[in-house]
Amino acid sequence: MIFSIKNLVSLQKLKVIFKNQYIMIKTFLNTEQVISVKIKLIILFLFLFSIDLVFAETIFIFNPETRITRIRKVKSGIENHLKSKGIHTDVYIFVKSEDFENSVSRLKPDLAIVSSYYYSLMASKYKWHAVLSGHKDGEKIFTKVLVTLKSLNNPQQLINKNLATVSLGASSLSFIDSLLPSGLSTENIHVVSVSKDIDAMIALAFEQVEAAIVTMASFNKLKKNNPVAVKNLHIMQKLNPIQYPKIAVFPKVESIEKLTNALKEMPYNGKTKIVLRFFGVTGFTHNNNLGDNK
Amino acid sequence: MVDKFLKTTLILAIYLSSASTDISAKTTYAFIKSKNFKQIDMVIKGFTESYPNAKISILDMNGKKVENKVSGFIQKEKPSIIICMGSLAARTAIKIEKKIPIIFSMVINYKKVSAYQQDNVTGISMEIPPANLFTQFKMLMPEVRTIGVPFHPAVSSEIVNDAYDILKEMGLQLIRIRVSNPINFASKLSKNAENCSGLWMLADTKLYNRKTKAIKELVKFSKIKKVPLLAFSEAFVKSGAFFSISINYKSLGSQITMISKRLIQNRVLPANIPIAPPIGTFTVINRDYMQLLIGDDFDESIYDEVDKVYPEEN
Repeated sequence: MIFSIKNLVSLQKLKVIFKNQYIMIKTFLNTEQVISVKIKLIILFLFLFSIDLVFAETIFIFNPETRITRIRKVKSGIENHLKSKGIHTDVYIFVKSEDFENSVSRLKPDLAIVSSYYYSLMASKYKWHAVLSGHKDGEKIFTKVLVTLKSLNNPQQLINKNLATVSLGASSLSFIDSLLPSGLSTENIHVVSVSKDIDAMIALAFEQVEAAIVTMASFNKLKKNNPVAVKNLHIMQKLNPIQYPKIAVFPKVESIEKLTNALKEMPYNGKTKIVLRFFGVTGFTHNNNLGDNK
Repeated sequence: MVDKFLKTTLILAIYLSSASTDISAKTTYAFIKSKNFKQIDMVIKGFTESYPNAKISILDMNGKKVENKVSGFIQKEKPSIIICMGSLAARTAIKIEKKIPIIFSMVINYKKVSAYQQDNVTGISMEIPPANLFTQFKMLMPEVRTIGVPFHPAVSSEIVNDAYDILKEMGLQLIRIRVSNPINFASKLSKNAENCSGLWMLADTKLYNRKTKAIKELVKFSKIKKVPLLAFSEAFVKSGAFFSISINYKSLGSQITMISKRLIQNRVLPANIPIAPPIGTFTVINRDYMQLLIGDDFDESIYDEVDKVYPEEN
């Protein structure tokens, strides 16, 4: 059984508690009894440390676009990988941004692994900084495209029209705004949220909407499997590149290198494969040459 | 004179611009629920997430015919749009209200009720189009070519016949397996579905109900022949079907938002918004069945095409 006392009491306080208890006991016992108690206290103290009671790091995760639903597997994958590196962690995976935000002040996480748009959205609130970025086979960004009916050629023609895209909750409306071409926003285009690209593309193919934002890979896959569905569609515009999830450190957190190195070393095989698939990446790498707000 | 004209124009312009923002601020969306279901709550959640600033009011009919209560609710809330969840709510509101736009959803077989053709009514059906179903089926199993579909002629003839042409356009052949007596289900299936590369389970209540063995026989057949079976509900994936596609209720809420905005902001009349199929789907795949069909050596990126994998590993 592993305890995590980081949020309960500091090492110094623990020492003080043991010291005070020893003084109290010493007042009421004879020398032999005191020695016996002293030995027992030392053994207890060593026992607690031998099972690494000390300072489990707290990691928060928020990646709502994930297709992976095996949350427990992801949690245990990360914790076990880090444990193999001598690092004990408490991992919390959030489905809703509100729960993430409500828990930050309560649990005081050291580090967060979040989707890149959420990282940017909350940068001024949390003042965190990214130390690692996700990548997929070396690529740190992926691209979504704006697909429309062939009869439309100009993004301005989409004003007051309907667009389908993957979005998860109100917090991702700002993300969609960041993707849309200049002149378009979630204020002047009606967005229908779906859970996966295929739904957006089918809605467009059936002309239930006039546009869809999907990944290039999804569009090409549909084109290959069902060319009839896409015959009246075209890519109007490639959108701003999107970064993969980031690993961010909260302010005033120190000595995090061992943890971040361990996360960087997570291999794309075995039990950590599902962890990386949860983030849609094949690994994490240093966030070199990338501004904190990108 | 010119000054006075300019001042008047300016005042009028300010008034009109403030009036238009006032419209959105005062717009109330009245939700009327036939009964309290988890799926209905998800629809409302999808609506509010897509439209965070919307002012909504909710009435739950609790499954009872409370026409006076619905009428009182509408009079009190003075909504710009009424959104009805379920047929009881929809039929009641349509009977009472002839002017305020009404959007219905979660109504099965709306085509059989003429009231839904009323001028102030539009909505979203519960039927996911076959083209949507099989586009997704092909994304998961590109080699599927012939689909066997058992059906009871009294219930599903129309849907099967409509699907036949649609699938033909997609390069798929639909093998229609007519089963007038569910007792003969297994033999009909064996005789007609022998060479099918896929199976389709319709929401056919005459075939698939507690009194028949059709569900078990269909799942058993699909497993023995190693033919993927597309079902209409997650419950059947747990029973052994390969894959299910059902409605995504949060997306349904978002789709209602889209229609609401067309009615309010674009000022489109309800009669000019055709009743549409649901846009968002919720798909579940059976991981064990996938391994049975393809073996362990399959590309896990296939899971990116679905919403849920069953069973989830612990």
